[in-house]
Amino acid sequence: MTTKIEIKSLYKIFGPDAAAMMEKVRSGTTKEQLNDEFNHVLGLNNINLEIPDQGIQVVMGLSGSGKSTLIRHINRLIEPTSGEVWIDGVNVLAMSDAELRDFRRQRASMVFQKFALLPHRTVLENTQYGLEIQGLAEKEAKKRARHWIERVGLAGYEENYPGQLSGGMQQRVGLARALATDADILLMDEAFSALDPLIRTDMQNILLDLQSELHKTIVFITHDLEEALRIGDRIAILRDGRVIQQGTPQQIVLKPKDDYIADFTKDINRGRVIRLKTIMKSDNGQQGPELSGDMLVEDAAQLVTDSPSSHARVMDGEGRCVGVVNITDLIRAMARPDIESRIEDL
Amino acid sequence: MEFFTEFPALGRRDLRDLRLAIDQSFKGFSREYGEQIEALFDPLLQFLIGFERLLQATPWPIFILVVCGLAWLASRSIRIVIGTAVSFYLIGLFGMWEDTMSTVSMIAVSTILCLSVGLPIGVLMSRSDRAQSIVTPILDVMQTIPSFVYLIPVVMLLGIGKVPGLIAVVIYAIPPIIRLTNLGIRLVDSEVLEAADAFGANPWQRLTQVQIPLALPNIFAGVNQKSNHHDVARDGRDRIDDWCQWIGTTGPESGLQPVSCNGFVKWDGDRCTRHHF
Ligand SMILES: Nc1ncnc2c1ncn2[C@@H]1O[C@H](COP(=O)(O)OP(=O)(O)O)[C@@H](O)[C@H]1O
Ligand SMILES: [Mg+2]
Repeated sequence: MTTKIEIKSLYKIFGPDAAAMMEKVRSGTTKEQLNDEFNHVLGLNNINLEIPDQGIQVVMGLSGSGKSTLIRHINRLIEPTSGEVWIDGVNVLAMSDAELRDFRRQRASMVFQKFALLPHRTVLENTQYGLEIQGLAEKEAKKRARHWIERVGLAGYEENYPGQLSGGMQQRVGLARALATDADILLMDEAFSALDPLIRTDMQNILLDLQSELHKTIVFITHDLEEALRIGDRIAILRDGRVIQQGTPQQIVLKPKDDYIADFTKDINRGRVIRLKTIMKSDNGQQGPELSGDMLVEDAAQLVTDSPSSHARVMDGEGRCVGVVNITDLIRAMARPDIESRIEDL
Repeated sequence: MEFFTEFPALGRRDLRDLRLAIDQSFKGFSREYGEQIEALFDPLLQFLIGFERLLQATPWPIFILVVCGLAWLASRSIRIVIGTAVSFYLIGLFGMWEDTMSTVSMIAVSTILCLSVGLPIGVLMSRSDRAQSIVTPILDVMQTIPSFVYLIPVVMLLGIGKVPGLIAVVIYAIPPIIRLTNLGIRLVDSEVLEAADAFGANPWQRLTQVQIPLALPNIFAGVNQKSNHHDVARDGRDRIDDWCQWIGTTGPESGLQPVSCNGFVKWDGDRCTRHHF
């Protein structure tokens, strides 16, 4: 997997004398000390992140952990105090104003937490916005905008104003506007956080559907672990401006790096995160339904329960058997770790 | 002790000399540059006169139709359109059509003038705190000194007529437009602005597609105040003439004539600029 976006030793300090604070931060001053003693806010603290091409990179953390600050460095809405951002081998920080504008028009579009639509424009005109800025001819822009409005399920609402739509529908407009520019990078800052749980799940499905076809590089910010695990190909967890762990959803859930993350993940439904290939044992000839190695444990448990066999054969992409699981493995994988340890105690 | 109880004012003679000096230099200035300054304002005068002639020459049914069309565009309310038609019909019925055309042309021209000067200044103020801190006290002064104070030098330079009237209206009416343009732009939702930046808008696109449209409700509040401020100028030329005479010599009664058609025109402009913003 090639790297699309590379962030190297990125620091952001908010305050009048940020550059002078760098030395203190490099030599280990914490966010709290910097705030209390020097009245500067440590936004990002030595971020190193490689975001793979055509995947969904989730950045997760509690409020104030620096997520918004980080994502805004990718399209340089915020200038770093120190560090580098490279996209496809091009240094974003070296771009001139005109180059940067061009990069934002063609290469990276953004979806916002509070939608940030233009209230005086219709759904169609909002969706066209990025194309208008690109300088695309009106007719072509309209055509493309209509296409994306349909793709996000808003056909028929073209002439409505954002104020007449529900939150979920407004964010569909936000998504259509971002997709319409054909940018290969999609930046989503808590795009679904303001929505009701049911609608949020809807939007996640829309996004995953579209992504299975569009293969964009998506940076998706959230403070919700369920959402992170559901959406992310990779997850980076941020705390006080630092990445404290990064990896696949399974790695985060199965090997939390510290108690803080373990605490986060303990209530998670593991059956929806862990995949068969992670827990399978070597092929011992047992027969049963043939399931993909990428299948989630929860789905496999259902299928194995319904089948006469208590085993399943795990297959790779080419249809070769790479291992087996039995129903006990599946149940154990779904059990929460704290319960596991309690059972051992008995 | 006397130092504290009696203010150490200039002597009578010094004061008189000072007054004389100011007087002299202003007279000299107006003798020297009066014509140039008049020439400077000439295009404005021609525009005003031309516009008034155009309105006077327009057949009244067409004028009412056009105004109703504008009212519809601005308000999208059939009630306001009917109200507009009825008002102008009554104005004509009471024999005030000609005067009203003068008033309307005065309002239209001064509005165009106020917007074309006020908007850019307001935009400038919104973009720079420095500009704001320089312009704000000037606006304060413009709004607090009575208009005859600045009209005196204007009248001395340009004589009595349409242009001083226009200047009086503009000086009186432009501060709210500038202030509210500035305020409106500063109050634009920062997330929407950020979206414009994120999609690569250049400063001009940002201004024309986001900042001004979103500030428009506030700017219109300024325009609305402005058209209601036509009290100052009363009814265009006639009132200004009366009024300037009053400044010069005569008693105050002439400045106070109420003009009913002014009221109608104002009501209409008010409804249309307020609209459902
Ligand atoms: N413009 C700013 N000036 C000062 N501090 C800021 C600014 N923007 C963000 N911060 C601070 O930086 C930290 C990270 O903020 P943010 O990136 O918005 O967090 P998140 O998006 O994870 O909630 C917070 O402590 C916040 O208060
Ligand atoms: Mg945030």
